[in-house]
Amino acid sequence: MFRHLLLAALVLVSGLAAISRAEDDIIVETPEDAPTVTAGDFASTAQDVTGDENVLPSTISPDADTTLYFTFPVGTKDVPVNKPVRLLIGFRNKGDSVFMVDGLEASLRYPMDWSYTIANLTSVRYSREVAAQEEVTFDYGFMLSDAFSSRPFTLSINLHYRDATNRAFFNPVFNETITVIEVDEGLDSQTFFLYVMFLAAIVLAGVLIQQYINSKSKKRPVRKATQNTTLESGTSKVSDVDYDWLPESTLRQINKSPKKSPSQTHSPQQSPKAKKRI
Amino acid sequence: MGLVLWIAMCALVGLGAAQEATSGARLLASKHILNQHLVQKKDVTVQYGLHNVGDSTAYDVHLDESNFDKADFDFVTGFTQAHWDRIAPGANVTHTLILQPKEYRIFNFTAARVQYRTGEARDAQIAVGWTSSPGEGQIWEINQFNRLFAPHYADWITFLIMCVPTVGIPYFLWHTSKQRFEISRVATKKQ
Repeated sequence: MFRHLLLAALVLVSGLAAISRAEDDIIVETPEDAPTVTAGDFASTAQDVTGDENVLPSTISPDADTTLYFTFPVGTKDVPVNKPVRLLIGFRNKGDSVFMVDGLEASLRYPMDWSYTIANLTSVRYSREVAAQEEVTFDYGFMLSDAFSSRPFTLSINLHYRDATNRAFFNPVFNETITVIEVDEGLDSQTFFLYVMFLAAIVLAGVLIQQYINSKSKKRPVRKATQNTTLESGTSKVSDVDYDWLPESTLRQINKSPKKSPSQTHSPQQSPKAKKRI
Repeated sequence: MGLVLWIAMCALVGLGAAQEATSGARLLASKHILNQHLVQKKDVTVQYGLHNVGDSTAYDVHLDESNFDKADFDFVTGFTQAHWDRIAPGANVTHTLILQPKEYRIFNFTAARVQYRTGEARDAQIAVGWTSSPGEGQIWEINQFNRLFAPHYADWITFLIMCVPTVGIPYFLWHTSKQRFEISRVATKKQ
């Protein structure tokens, strides 16, 4: 009896473990659970597969199996702004006929009301054939601008495809709430120039202090009466004449012929050559 | 009592088996061209990423790339075929291939083939898949690319050499006349 109970308990535990699987950002569409819907019947699909708020009924082919995986950002529903969000969508054809995957459309919707579209993201046309018993991966990416930051949205990604009889299906590959966050980057241009301004203000303060100290130090030494007061004498004193402005070649000529130069006749001791700085 | 337990056990096992059939190894394969520009006779980097998003290990994974013809491309680094013994669930692997296109044209980058086994046993189910295809890309002609993006060192040096007479002659004239009026500072200190 006890052995029977133990066996039953073990089986129960293993069974429960098989049933409960935590799936965060990986959505596996299990067509066994979804009711098969004919093309014209939209009223019956009230319960969706993932259990999220899904207002529109979806038409999923039982032979198609889709998987979604975010390669950036990995493992989180927080999407940063201004960064390309990349994701991979796997499409497995479990049937016997070929599928044609037309494209993908994505949109951001209001979390409380799915039918209210806030933004449509770029849709991609794949137009790719998936043969029977094969799987194909599709690559998609989008980037959100600053306008979307710090708000939750419902990101809805639908994959449109057709089967061999040209019947159209679409899979809601992703239909969950994401939060758009703004990542605080270390150094951006605004903070950089703020630091430059602080540096400039410090330098300016330093210059002002230096000027103040200089002006203070200049005033301190007492002015003594200058003994050598220079008096303006006009052109009467020939010895004060400065011949520096004459080019060298002219000065040499003057010195060669001292009699001809006017300075020599007046003051032979003062020659322009003495004043000339070699 | 025993019968009830037995039925319950069978039901649970059956359910568990059904669950295991849908959950298994699932590989998502991506193929990306990492270049901003595709230029003739310059390196083009192709990166393959294989992510196992399933619940069990993928065994004997083969990546086979047949998109690039040897006649059209020079292979610099990497192989067109890659093999991994196993990829654990939740793990991903990457493979890089660097090649150089020989001619300039619009090239259609298609998918590479991926094949793996969902179980360790030799006769386990083999899954065949394809990577994502990057699509069509324009491979630029090398001359056209250089016209826009090369540093043009020779052109700049030629320009500077050609500027020398226009700037140099007036400077030379000014320098000559300035020298005549210049008073050297060494003589000033002496006096």
